[in-house]
Amino acid sequence: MKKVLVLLFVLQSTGNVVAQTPSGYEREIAGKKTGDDKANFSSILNALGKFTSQDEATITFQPTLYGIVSMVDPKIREQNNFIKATFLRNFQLNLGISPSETSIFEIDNFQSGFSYAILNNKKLKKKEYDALVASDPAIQNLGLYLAALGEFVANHPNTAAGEQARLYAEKGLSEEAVKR
Amino acid sequence: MNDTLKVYLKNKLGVSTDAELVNMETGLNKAFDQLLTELSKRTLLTVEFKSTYDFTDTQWGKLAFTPVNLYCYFNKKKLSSPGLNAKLNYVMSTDTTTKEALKRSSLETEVGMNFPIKVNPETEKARFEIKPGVSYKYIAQRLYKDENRSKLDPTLTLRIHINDDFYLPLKFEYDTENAELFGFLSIQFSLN
Repeated sequence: MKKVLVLLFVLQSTGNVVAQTPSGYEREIAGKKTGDDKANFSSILNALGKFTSQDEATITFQPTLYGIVSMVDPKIREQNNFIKATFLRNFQLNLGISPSETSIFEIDNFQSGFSYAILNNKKLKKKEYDALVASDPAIQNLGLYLAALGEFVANHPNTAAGEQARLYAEKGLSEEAVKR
Repeated sequence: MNDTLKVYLKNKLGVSTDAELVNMETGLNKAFDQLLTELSKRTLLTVEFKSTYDFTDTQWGKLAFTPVNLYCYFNKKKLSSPGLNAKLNYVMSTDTTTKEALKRSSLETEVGMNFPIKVNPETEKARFEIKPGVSYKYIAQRLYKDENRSKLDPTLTLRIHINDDFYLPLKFEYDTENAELFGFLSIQFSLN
């Protein structure tokens, strides 16, 4: 059990260092999923350490191709590239080992495989965003609101008030990210 | 928000009270958040393949094909919506009596319903999740002696939320034939 824990934390820390979130919206969408859902299919990677009383312990490492590519090429995390990389996001590698009871350097068996998501339409599209804006007059006002904020920032450069307004504008919806 | 900005915005947008201004700001945020929730609750369907190579026997231990792994939320608008998970496997494994690889084949189905409990509205995370379910196994080839061809067992998974990345799933399987309870403790790390 100790060995598996050590291995899991090594995997976890490497995962933390290299893999970053694609964009704010995707992170939010992923954050709303239940843990059980995430265990089936991950956005970037899943690692699982399993300890049982009967069988041997196993440790699995399940990165999506998108997760691996984003380690090598950070450009793919940009919203534009993220949307295009459908295959990479829907293909998950399932790798795993069962360490031997006696030594951490001996491995009893090696598991390899993949999951491919046929239905995994959990990203925000421009069409949906437009439908949302059209459906609610309160939202149409936000465009005006953001425009007013922007104007205020332009009219008050290098002042405390202007700086504050800039922060408010950033907090609001940045439309460019959605439109792509 | 300071006064200069407030006055400027009110003039520009033609509203008179602070409340209206706040409304304009939060109206979209709420609707947008709701849209993201609906997106996150969309159905997931995957096909899977998994192979296991055994180093102790130096042969393939297992080949598993999963034509259907479905994850479907019932209420797409609610964060605490229960989720149905159905998984169908075709497994080829080693016949342990003769040590012949990939001769024993079975169909394994697992259906469970996941209920998030105590969802925190701020963090949008459930304190824990309970997933009762059933597993059904039908052995198509190489049935061992004293073994039933089909087997229906109840399962229960309790998943404790530790932080955004870590979960502690604890799975219980009850063997109805031998009246035994098995427990599997895992650590799940999910990076999103």
